[in-house]
Amino acid sequence: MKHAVQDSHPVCTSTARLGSAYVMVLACAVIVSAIGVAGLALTRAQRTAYTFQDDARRATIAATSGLETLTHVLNGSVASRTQLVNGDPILDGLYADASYRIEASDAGDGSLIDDVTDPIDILVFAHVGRARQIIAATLDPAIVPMSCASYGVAVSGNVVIDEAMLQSTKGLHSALNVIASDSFIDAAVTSAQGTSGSIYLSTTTLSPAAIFPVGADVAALIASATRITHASIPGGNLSNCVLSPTSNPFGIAINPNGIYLVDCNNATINISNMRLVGTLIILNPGSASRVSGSINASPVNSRLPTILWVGNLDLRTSLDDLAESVTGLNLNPVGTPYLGSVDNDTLDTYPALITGTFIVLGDADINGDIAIDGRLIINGSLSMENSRLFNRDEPSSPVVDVLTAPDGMRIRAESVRRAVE
Amino acid sequence: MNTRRAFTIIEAVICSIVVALMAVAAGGAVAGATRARTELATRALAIATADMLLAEILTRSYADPQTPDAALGTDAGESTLTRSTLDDVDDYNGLILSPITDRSGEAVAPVSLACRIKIEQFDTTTMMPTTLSRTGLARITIDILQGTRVIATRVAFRARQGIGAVP
Repeated sequence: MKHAVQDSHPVCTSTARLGSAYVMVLACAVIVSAIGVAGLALTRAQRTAYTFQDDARRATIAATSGLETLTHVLNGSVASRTQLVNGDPILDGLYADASYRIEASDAGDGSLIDDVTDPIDILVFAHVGRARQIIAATLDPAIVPMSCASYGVAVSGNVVIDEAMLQSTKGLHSALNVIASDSFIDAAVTSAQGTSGSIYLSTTTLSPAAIFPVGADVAALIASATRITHASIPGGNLSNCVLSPTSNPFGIAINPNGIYLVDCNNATINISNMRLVGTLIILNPGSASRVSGSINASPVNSRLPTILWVGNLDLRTSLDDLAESVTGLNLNPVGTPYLGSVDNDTLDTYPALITGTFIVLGDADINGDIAIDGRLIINGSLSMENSRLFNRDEPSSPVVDVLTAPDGMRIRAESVRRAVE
Repeated sequence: MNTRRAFTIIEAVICSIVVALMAVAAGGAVAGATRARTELATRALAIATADMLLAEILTRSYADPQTPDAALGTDAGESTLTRSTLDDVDDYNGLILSPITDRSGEAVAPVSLACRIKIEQFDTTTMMPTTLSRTGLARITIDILQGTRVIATRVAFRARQGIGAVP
């Protein structure tokens, strides 16, 4: 009988051992590693997101700064417009870590270089890292008053006052000297060189010489005027009349702003006892020309001068009221009211007063009395003798256009915005 | 025949070594991640502070509104001790804030952080700062420091005719 050998214990081989310790340790290692890797990945993702956010913020700052710098460059040189057209790298190097692209256009006529005062639409693209920001803006030409408009009476040459009186609430300025003798100057006086004589209120010397208008500054105004031929003015005497947007006794053409021009071609013109509602321009007056009598004048448009006299001026006006009884003419007809009133009689009187801006491009010689509510601007010398000049500020009158000058470009208010392509 | 089901000493030792290595590695990773996140948080705070100060300076115009051609730096009646009196960007040149405060004097960042502000005139022909008195363009640099280490910087430009120009 064959007896099987029986073992009460089961056979235990090496494969029967489960190795559970290794499995558990490896499992733990995998879990811990996974958690660690996930943590590192999360940190990395946070850093990436943070870096991108920071890049975006820096790109915004770079784009805005690029716009600021571009405005600065465009103000420094009009040739910068050509650089814009050519795509020159105007902003390269502004930041070490940012790159730029600029798109500029002239929405008005499509050409950036035909007129340096045309507005410019600008897009500044700034790239920082993987971020890009675009800033859009419009640059407009800046117009600023000429410095002569800061004064009530401004003279580019010498001011010589002899036995006369000059009163100005907004001050007297000479780009050279103010020389007064036996006179009364009731004004703050500013001169670029020197001052002598009796001056009341303050005196400032060696101040910067003011800037004055020249012929080119008034060219557009002259071009907009309605011409009155010298031959149509009887005897060259522009007197006893009304010039206004509805009244031109020397021609059939009228001007909606009352801008009338007489080119004297060196012939004599005498202006006296008249009422002007608008702008009177006198070109090339003969040497014997003068303004005398009583003048009542005011502009239609407060941005236009009242009188522009291109040539030497002999002023012998009076402060006596302008009387219709003297002119024999109704000076407030229908269409040309005075203080809102019109009539048909010849009984009214008007103050001898020039309201607005009186510009002389030449020397002025005052031998009479005159009152100006506004500004007297003389690009030449001023001589006063036995005369009186009363100048009051006219707060409601802005600086007229011909006394302004371009001053580069400015970013239009409210035009700056972030843009997308 | 081995009927014992427990770990051998070798298994135990190997497991212990593996677990120890794992622990060291995991600890290092956690410490690194924590350090990185702390640095990130500090840097984010520093940059937010720099942005706040930059925003304050960029509300100012390039030059003094009353005296546009005045010398660089604070003008009469202005003091960096009272920032509300500063009215143009170059008034801020050389300003050091430690601790960093807002205009009202309230601390806005941990005391471990400080701020250094530099305003330079900038020349666009060389794209470099210049010693000229006024060029019409100012470069504003704000450094946030932790000790002596710069941990955040913001740079911006302000032009005389720029967004903050005085009408």
